[in-house]
Amino acid sequence: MVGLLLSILFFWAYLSLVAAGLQFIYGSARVLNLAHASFFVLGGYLASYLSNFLSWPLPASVAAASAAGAAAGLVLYIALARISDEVDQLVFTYSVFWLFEAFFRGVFGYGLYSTADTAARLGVLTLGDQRVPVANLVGVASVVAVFAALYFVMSKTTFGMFLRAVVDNPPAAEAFGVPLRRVVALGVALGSALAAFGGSISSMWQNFNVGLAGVVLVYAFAAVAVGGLGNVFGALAASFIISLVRALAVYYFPEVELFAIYLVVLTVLALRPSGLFVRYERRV
Amino acid sequence: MRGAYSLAVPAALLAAYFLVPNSYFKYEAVYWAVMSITMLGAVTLVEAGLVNFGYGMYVAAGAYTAALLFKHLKIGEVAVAIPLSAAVGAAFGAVTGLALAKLRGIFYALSSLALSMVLYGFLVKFYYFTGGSDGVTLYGATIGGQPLGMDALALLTAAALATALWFRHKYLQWGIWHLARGIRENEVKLWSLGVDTGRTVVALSAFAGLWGGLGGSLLAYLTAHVSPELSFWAFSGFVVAGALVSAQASYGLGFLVGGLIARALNVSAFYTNAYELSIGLGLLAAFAAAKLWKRHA
Repeated sequence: MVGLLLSILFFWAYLSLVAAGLQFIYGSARVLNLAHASFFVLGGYLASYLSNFLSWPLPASVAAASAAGAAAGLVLYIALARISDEVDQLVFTYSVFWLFEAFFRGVFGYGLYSTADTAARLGVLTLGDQRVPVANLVGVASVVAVFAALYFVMSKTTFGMFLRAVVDNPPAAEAFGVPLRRVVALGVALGSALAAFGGSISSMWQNFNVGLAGVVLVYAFAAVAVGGLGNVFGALAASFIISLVRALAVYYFPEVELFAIYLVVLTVLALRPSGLFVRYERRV
Repeated sequence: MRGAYSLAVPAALLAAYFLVPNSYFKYEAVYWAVMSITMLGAVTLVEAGLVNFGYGMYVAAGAYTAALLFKHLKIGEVAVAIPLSAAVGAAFGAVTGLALAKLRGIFYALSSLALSMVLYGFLVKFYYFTGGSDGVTLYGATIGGQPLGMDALALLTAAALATALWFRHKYLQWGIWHLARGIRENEVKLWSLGVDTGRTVVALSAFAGLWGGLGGSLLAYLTAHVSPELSFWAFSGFVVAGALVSAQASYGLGFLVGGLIARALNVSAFYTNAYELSIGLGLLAAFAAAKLWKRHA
């Protein structure tokens, strides 16, 4: 039972970061980013590389990987800002997804990358009859801290206010003096940094290899579709639902894993096409 | 007499097939035709602005109909399997079209992706029924009781391509083609004209499923293997991106260009030993070219 709860918790921790990042990018730039999971994988690769091959301490590796994710997101935004059509953006980010895969294979090769060795040095805790690596708990704690910081930024700072205004209605926000382009660029950078942070944190218990981005993206899309596009904290709740369904499926009916997740997605889309946690419906 | 294309292109395909002795060329020529038929379904949807990131599920539905007939019932007769695959594809298209009828834009893209991943999950996990991630290998296919050789498959594919071209020629004169373009340009106007756009989407999806299923079953016999990758979102994205590009090239023959782009990208990806880079750069280049083409037209 403890094992089941923990596996829900660990999957939730990183899925929520990827999904929240996707929401930031959709909310600010109105782009459904098919290359988003590539930021996650980039974070995992970079953190592993820095800590394994250059012997950086893990926190520094994580910080550097997140910063690299933010920079990659900014570059993507500069290109995307020139493409206005929603469908064109999909094709563009799909191409970028493949370019990222090419980059991963070219730079990191086919090996499996993780910071499992560093994580193992943090030791193991015994909870009931379940042994839990401390690294996982540190990871979850840092995810909680990040979401607390996000909540503070979104609700208490001027930038957060601007960003929420842009998510609701970009032209109106601009008319009220919000520096639209700068806020959108920061929103995209924040979103991709979150994904890279999620990747670098989860590198403690997850292997990174070519092809992972395509799999992670599918989970992130599920969370986003259930939570409602553009809603960051909705994605947090939806990620929990997805993690719960996934863990239950894996524990009790391994055959129906992906199947079960997408049945949830389809049910939600049939009942509330814009997702569970949206304030108003956007149908077209 | 633009409909004459429907015979000229398959005739050219067959001429090239039988005149060029190189067997690899023969294989690629047939592959191009199969990819073009597959592309036609995606083009049908893209014209209505429906970017189906689960289009591969129709291809998989057709391919697995042929594969499972063989695996479980030992039926390798293409005269049975190919029409059945196309019918299953069309039925699958109609049912999913019903589920997606009200969604547009990225909601349509997301939901179709979700549907195809349900099929993918089913195909991967139910190992004893579907062969799991290994897929199914087909061998010993027959046509009218005779073994299906490469030449017979080429003739069959040429006939299918002729059907697709002829259908496309007729389709461009039907009302539904104009309705599809209306859904992309201004759906509200169609409502005010009394059009049930949901029903149009169902019909478009059924057509898309038909071509996807037909292409999928031909692909299964050509490569002698099917795998769940057909239903994975990345394959759908590849086909849809090709369709978006080819829809710019020509109304009647664009899908042939799309098939060529898709096949050329895949072949170059294998030969350059940089699969991902070739796909990414190739799609970007094709996309940019299509945009520039449109601007000058």
